[in-house]
Amino acid sequence: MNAEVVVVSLVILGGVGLLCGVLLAVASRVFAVKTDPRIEALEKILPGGNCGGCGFPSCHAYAQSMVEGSAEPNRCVLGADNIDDISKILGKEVVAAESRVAAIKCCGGNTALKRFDYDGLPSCRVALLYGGGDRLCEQSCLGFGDCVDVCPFGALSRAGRDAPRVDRDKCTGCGICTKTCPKGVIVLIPRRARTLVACNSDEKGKGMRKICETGCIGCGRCVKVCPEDALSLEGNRVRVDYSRCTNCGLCIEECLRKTIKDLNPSERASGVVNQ
Amino acid sequence: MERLLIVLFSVILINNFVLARFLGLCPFLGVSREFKSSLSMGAAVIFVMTLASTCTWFIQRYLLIPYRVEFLQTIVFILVIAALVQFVEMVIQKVSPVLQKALGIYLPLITTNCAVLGVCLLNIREEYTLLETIVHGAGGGVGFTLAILIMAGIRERLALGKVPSCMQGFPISFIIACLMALSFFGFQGFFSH
Repeated sequence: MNAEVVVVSLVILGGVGLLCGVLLAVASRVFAVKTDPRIEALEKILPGGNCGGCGFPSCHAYAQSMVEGSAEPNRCVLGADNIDDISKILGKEVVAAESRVAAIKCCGGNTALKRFDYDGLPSCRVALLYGGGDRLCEQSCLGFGDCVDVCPFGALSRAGRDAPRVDRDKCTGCGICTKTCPKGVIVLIPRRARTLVACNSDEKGKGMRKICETGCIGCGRCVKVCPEDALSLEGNRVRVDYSRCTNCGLCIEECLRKTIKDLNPSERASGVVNQ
Repeated sequence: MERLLIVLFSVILINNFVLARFLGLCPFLGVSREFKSSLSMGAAVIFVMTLASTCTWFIQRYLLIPYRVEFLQTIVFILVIAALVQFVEMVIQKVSPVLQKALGIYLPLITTNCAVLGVCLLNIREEYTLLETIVHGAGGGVGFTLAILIMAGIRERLALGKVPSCMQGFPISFIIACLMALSFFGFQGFFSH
């Protein structure tokens, strides 16, 4: 073995390694990017679930935008408890946003009549490819629970082919399920609201009676009984204006087909739901 | 010029790094679930391969050959590529945050990838000139991008298909990769006539 070769390779390898090391050490100084310490502090407060409910891809991106001032500091659905800490870090007043929960506007479920027997993959988006799904009602929940799979907080659970159940304690109102649902059946409503018109269809009364036993027939009794004019008929859909609704619950009692659900019986007549 | 085109064409289609040489399979299967992330991965690979090819060519020419220590190739190349990519990432982070967002986490991911080392070693073995080395490096990246994009497209559609439960996930992906490799095998002998 030639001793010279050993020495040369040691020197070259060591030299290259040393050079690279020095280069990186210098570069890390020269090219250091200064980050605002507030970003890190805000990130600690944010839940870190990267749910996207605030409109940013990650909690880090949201914290960054908050510090830059380009994002409202009350957009995090979980940050409501920590709003004081956030305003302390940012040094400005932050008003907590209305807390919302997901609600599924369909009560047809297993009772909704079917056009055909669907035997494909148990996925709403796949079932939709077969002529819009197997239900006669074109706006109904398909019940395969694509929303259940995307919920990052485990707030939804399947209930056979009925509309999935929403666990109100776990739901943060991030709204990912509303974007996933191919039928657009899921909406976000104020957490304190009692009334939910659990039907998404704009079918006329006569047609509705044929395709669903519990869907809204647009009779308008709830609209007439409401003392606050919070309900209105838009086409054949009933719309609730939660900024007027006072949780009195008269419409819930008035509904003939029990389409209007009482989500929150404990909030009986507690004043205007959404200021 | 003609030789450059031949080098480019052969590295993209005939000797595709993924489908003919079976290098860089981990990112090929790991990052091909979505089309968008595959595109970022492909861009990062093109970038790193071109850079690494050029850099290692100079090292081979002006350091290893004069001192007759060519056997140190592998270890020196790995060292230099890793340091270089790290360095470039720092520069990008400072100079162009937009580019940093696009290449993002993919740059460090492929630093020590076998395809990157492979392209450098092949440059030496084929005794390419500097220009051919650069073209070979960039072409290798393009070939990788092509393969991973096709794979991502297939896998995105596969997500809606009915796959037997024992074949779901990686097994079916490997079979698809195998079929793709077979079809790319058809490019062999393209220049013999």
